[in-house]
Amino acid sequence: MTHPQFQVEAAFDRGFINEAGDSVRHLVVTLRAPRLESDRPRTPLDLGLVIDRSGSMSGERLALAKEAAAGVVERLADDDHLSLVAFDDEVRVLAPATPLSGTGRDRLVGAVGRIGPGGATDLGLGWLTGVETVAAAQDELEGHRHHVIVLSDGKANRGITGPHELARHAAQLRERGVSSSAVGIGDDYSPDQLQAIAEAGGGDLHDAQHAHEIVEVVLGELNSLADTVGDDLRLAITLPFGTRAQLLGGEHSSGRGHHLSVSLGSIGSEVTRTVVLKLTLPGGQRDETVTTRVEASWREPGELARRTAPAVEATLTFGRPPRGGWPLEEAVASSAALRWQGWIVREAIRLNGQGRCDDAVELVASELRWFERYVAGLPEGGRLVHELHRTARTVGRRMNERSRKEVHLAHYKLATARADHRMADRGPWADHLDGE
Amino acid sequence: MGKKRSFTLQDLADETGVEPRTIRSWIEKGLLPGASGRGPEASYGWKHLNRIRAVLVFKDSYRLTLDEIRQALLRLDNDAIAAIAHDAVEPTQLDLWARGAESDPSRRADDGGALGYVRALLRPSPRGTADTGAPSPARAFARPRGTAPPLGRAGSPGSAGSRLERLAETLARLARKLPRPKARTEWWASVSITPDLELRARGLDSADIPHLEQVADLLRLLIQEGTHR
Repeated sequence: MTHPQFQVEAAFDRGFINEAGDSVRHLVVTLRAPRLESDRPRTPLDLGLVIDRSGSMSGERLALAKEAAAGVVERLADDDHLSLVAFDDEVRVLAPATPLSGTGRDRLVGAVGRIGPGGATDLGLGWLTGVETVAAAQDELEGHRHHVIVLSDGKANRGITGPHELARHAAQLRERGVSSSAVGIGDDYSPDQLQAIAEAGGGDLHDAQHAHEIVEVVLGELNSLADTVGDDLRLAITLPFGTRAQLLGGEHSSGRGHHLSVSLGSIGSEVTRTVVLKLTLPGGQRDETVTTRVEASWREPGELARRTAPAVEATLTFGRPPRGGWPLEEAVASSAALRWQGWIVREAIRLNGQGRCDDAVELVASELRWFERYVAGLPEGGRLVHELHRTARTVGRRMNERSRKEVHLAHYKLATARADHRMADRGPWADHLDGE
Repeated sequence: MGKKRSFTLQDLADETGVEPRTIRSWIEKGLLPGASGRGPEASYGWKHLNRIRAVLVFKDSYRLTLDEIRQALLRLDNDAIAAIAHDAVEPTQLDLWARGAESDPSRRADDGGALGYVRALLRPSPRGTADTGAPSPARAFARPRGTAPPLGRAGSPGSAGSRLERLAETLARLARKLPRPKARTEWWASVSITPDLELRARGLDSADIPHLEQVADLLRLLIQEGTHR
């Protein structure tokens, strides 16, 4: 059997760097996922559904979360397994990994029906218990995909609540073969906590503003799972010595020295992901070159072994800057500008969410000074700058929670090349800036 | 089996105690080459037998994941693999080969995979001892059960004294980076040392996180040493 190949490209926005040092360059890495062979059977799932049943979920939200769960039970195939966990400040395993064949389906429908409203929100405990039920079947269900979807409308206020700690555990569990996605319901959920789980967990973050969208995004996630060609996609990037790197897409990364590992989670058929790194490079001898090496690896769904695409390299040559600087590679710079803009907007929104409106304005203003110069010759430059000015105007006063979530989500989906499964179109992200 | 040149799958299983099913999955995962011939004609050689034994050494004594073992084997030639299989390699050399493949110490399989990791988080044993239950995943540098020397001797990253020095050095390096422009100084990075202990720092950028993690790793080692004493 031939295995589908990923195409990887790496390029800098300028080919030269200042021999005197402190040059900032953008490295743009593009990954194209292969097409999912249509005759290939879908990898069976060992899926865990974790449902928040805390007080705030009672009523329509919980009813529709249960409807979504029932929809999942209906859509899964006979060789899939599903576990069900409900949590408030305590956790109930309503069904351990249960096969959908035989009487399993009926038992799962019964388990969904037993979910009732409760008290506080221990998101961490609920999620980890969901992982536990899925992982308990990991050995037995070799060749399955082990995945957990958490549905919550709240901020975790019990147990593990720190986004960094949640992310750390999510990453560890992803590396051990169990990935996680999250569905945020309503306006009050904590995007930091849920995104930490989803992003480091190699899954997707969904938003269900309206209760009926819970069903849309959960079933949408199920479709995305079926469409996956690669799990736990990672980039191993070796930078020139002495380089400082910053990821502009918010991806989960770890590294030692000049080695950086960037986690991109799962990727769907024919999806293109773009990763942009802002590098600050040291100086060097004129006409000498430095190389950055990028290697992509992933697991095919249901497999443990990793596959690796041939490594690609991008080089930079030291020189003395000509008057007006070296020219930009337009296509590469456009990708970099888009991601850079996304980074500025997300950071500003985050500061705004913490009530630090002045800091948010200052951040946008200070970045804009560089950004405007950078995009001056780019075809989309004017629009990007205009959107940032609108952002600066908006983040100066406390935004409403919904606008913040929409803007954040739009940039998250853009950076991760993932679909928004909500049926109602939310329009361009910048329109939410004025929705105050 | 001394002079035998080719084996069946069952021979390999009998000789190594590894299930035929598992051997097949190792072939699929690229740890072993495939058989010559197919179906009932399939035959295996010494190369397979040696590799299975080497896999067992890395798996049981070093608790490497199968992926890490595959990478370790990639770096070794047949003679080296045969030497491992026949227990003819100096422990220090074997340490080097194993550690070279260890992509990330916290990813070592000595915590029982996802299930072991999550159970250790959900139900941490009171003293977190590696011998009685699943070790805490936060103890990223926990030694493989019953195999590696105690902390502070050969094979571990130095004595308590030198660890303290490294700790001071890394902390100083981090401290020199502060403070930064206002907009970024409010960003807190936190790294957990144990499930109940966290290290937080402000004013770092993401490239500095590995240093913070290093500090956490060193603190964890020092704490462990305290508990083991």
